[in-house]
Amino acid sequence: MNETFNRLYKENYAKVYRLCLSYVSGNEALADDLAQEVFVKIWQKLDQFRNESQVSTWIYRITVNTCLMHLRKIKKSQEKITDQIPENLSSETEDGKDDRLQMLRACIQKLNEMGKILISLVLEEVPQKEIAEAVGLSNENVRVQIHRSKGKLFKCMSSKEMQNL
Amino acid sequence: MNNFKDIQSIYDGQKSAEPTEIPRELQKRIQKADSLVNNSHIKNIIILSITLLAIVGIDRFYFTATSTLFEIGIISMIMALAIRITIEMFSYRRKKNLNVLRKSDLFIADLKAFYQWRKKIHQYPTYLTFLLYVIGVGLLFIEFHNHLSQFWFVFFLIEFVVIMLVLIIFIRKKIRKEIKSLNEMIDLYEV
Repeated sequence: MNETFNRLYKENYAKVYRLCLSYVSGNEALADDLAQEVFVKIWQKLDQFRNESQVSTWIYRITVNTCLMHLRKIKKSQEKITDQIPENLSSETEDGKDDRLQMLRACIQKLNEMGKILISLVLEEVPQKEIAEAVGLSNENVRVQIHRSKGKLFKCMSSKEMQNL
Repeated sequence: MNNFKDIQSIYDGQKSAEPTEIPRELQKRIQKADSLVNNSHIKNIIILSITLLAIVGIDRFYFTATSTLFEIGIISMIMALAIRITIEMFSYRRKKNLNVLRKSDLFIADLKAFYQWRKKIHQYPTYLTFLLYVIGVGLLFIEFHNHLSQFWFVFFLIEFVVIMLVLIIFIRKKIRKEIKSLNEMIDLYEV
C-alpha cells in the first residue's frame, strides 16, 4: 500500500469512524463499514488531491458524501435501532456504554440529514469555515443551520433527561 | 444539561481506538473496488452479453433453415437484450461519474438525479424490453410448432406461459418495491 495512504489512514481513521458513528446513531458495525468505504474512496481519489484545500477538509467531504451515498443502508439499520432503543433509557445499558452518549446519538438521529452532518462535524470540533467548505454551503448558512441544529439537539437532550429523572 | 458544552463533553467522552495498521478487510475491499468485474452493472452486462452471443450463435449455426417469423423472433430477443445492455452501460457510467469530491450540496443533487433516472428506467424501459423479449420467444414457438409433436408443443407452451406469468408477477413486485424505495431516497435528499 501507498505510504501516503497508510499515513492518511492512521491519522484520520478514528476521526472518520467517530463522524460515521454519530451519523448512524451509534451502530458500530455500520460505522466501521462506512469508514472503510470512505478509505476505499480516498484510495481511489488519492491522485486527485491537489493541496488546494486542507487534507482534513478533503477527507470530511468524502466522509459526508459517502454517508449520503449510503443513506438507504443507513435508514434500514436506523429503523432497526429505533425499534431497539427504549424512549426512556435506564442508567446502565446492555453493553455498558454511557447512556448519555446513547441519548445524544438518539437525539442526533432526530435531526434532518444536513443537521446530522453539521452537528457531527461540530462535535468533532471542525472549524465552521472548514465545515462550510466541506458541505458546500456559505459560511452564514452553515452558522444559521448549526445554530438551529444545536438548539434542537439541546432541547431533545434536556427533555430526555427530564424523562429520566 | 446547561449548555452545548455539556453535550460536547458527552461526545468527547467516547473512546475510539487509533489504528496501527491497515486491516486486511480494508485491503481486500480496496482490491475488490479496483477490480471492474466486481461491479454489479458490469456483472449484468457480462451475463446479458453472453446470453446475446448465445442467441446469435444458436441462430447462425444451429437453426440454419428458418422462417421469417423465427428470424423476427430472434431479432426481437437480440434487440431487447441490446437495449438492456445499453441501459446497464449508461447506468454504470452515471454511477461512476458520481464524484464524492464534489461539494455536498452538488453531490446531493447528483445523487437525486441518479435515483430519478433509475426510477425512469424502472417505469417503462424495463417493461418494454421484457415485452420485446417475450414477443421474440413467442414467435419462436410458431417455428417449434412445425418441428415438435403436439404433446411436446403444448407442454412447452404451457411451461412458457406459466414461467412468464410468474416472472411478470415477480418483476412487477420488485419494480414497485424499487420505485417506492427510490422515492423515499429522493425525499431524503431534500435536505
